[in-house]
Amino acid sequence: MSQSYKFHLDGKKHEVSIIKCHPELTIAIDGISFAVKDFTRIAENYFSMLVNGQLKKIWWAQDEEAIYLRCDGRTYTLPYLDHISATQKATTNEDIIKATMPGIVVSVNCQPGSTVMFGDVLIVIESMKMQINITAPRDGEVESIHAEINSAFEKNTELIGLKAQQ
Amino acid sequence: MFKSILIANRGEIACRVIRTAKSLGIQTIAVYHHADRKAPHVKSADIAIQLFADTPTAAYLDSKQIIKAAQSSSAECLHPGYGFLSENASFAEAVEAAGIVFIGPQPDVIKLMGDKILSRDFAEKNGIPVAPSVTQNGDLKSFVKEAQKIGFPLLIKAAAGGGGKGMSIVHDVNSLEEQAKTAMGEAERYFADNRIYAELYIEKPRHIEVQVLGDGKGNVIHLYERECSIQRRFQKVIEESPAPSLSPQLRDSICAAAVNLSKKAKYLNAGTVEFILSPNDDFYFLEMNTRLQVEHPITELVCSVDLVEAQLIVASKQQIPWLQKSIKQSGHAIECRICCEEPENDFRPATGVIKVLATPSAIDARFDSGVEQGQVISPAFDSMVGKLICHAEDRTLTIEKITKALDELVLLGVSSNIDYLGRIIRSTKFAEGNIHTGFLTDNEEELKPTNLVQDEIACALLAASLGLDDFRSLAFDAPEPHASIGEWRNL
Repeated sequence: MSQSYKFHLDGKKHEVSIIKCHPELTIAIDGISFAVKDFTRIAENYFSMLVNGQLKKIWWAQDEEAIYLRCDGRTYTLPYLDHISATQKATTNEDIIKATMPGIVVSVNCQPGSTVMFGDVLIVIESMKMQINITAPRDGEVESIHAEINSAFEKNTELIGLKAQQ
Repeated sequence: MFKSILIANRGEIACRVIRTAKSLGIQTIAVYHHADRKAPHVKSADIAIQLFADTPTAAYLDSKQIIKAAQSSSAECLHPGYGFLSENASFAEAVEAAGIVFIGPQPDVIKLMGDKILSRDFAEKNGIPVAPSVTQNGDLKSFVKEAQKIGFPLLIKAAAGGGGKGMSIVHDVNSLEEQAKTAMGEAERYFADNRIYAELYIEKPRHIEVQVLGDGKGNVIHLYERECSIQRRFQKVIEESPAPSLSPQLRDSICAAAVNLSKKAKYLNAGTVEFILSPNDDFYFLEMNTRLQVEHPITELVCSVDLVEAQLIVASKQQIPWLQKSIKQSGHAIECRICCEEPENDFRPATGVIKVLATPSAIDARFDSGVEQGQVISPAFDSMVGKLICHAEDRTLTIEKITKALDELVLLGVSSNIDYLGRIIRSTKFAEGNIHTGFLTDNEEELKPTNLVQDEIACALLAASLGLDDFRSLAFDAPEPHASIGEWRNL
């Protein structure tokens, strides 16, 4: 029973593993044991359990990006590890600025060759009736612009390319 | 009363209108874009007619197709909801010209109130207090010069504006011209009308609005006020009625001003007159919304009325169903707007699929929504997906009730502001009632989520694991000898 599950929560990596199933289910979280009793499914996405004697009612859902929970009036998102590494890869490549959500280009405030500073508004997009400034992630020079005013784009579309740093 | 109604809208407001229409035995006709084909408003209407357009928004703005749908389904009247075509005078004219009753005011009243400059002048002319202001009539330089005379901070707005679009606060003369230019650009883009105006910005103002109902012949009643000061980016987040700590005299003056203005306009329909209230109890006319407001349910609960029914009654040329003296404020109501957004990320709109939607079990928590589990939240529409409304004997009890209701409201799969609303409602400052439109920015730090404690982290991780099928099968379905291997064997 050495299989462990890894989750990201609150910016940290955590490990969950089953220590034993009988006489009572004991699960280790980052090496600390917790007794889980009376696991009961209330509805399809709703269950309850006793954790160290305390009753917890949990709403649970997942999609390809994360597990979602609601417990004691608080909502939790636990992104899958492989998803996190994928997005991290995308954002650490600072030469390319991608759309984090679908939208429409409202204005373009730079052109190829423009020198920009960290935080400069490069383009303004509109998504769900809200205007959002897309700013430069670092100082640099704009190499390419893939955004035209009034054009629509999908999530992860490349919007602006910065000249690679030496 | 009408026999059939077409609802030229979508989402929660379409569902809301359908609910009342059905209760009155009126046949309901919905319109929809392909993206909404599975939406609740389509399912709940008696008839649903598809609109064709490149984008979902364009479909709900296509007046010709909508009027054609109304004619083909023999709708006697048309309810525009809010947003989209609800305050479009040409649309109202075209609907009436097609022989269909428009549930709204006369087109010229829509035009008058829809223009911030004209409506402000109209209010001033009729003795309603307005804030000092300057209008830009082409020449930017002289506008800047005149605007400076009012003093800073200044609020710049688009003449044709609404919903915070084209609005900005100018703190000093240096940025005035540039911000005026930006506002003109935004005004042009959103409203195809680049006229802007500047008015004195009241520090720590409250947003108080009055619900009115007019019959179009000069008879108008009010249904008291709503406090809508909890706003982010000039958009309301939490509304309540009555407004906390408003003296009876001030309440009467504000309500009387709203009624006077509406009478002078011979207003027909339910409408809202919005005011800015300064910390020293001066109030100024802001604008009039000639439609049903998002936050109308709090008035319905406090005054025990159905405003959609009232709209239909006055639109069918009947008398206003209530006398002013029979309208009483009873108890307190609070509404929270549920939006798919990321409050911790500058309220960025969130998209995705609603994997779980569970509504509060309390019988008297009202959840007006136009979404259901499994629905896709697309960037095509506004991020508001529903409204949670509670009513109780007083403000404290209402806060208690809505706190519990928010805790019970579950929306998973797409980020929402539910937890954020809970933190606002629970905050001591909200409970004290010292609210103004800068409340959320002023208390930004206190309204951030608290750090997770060890128990919360443990519970979340246990829950995350136990929700997974393969984890559960390891935990519960393991064969006995294997399962009991642990630190010790229970033989």
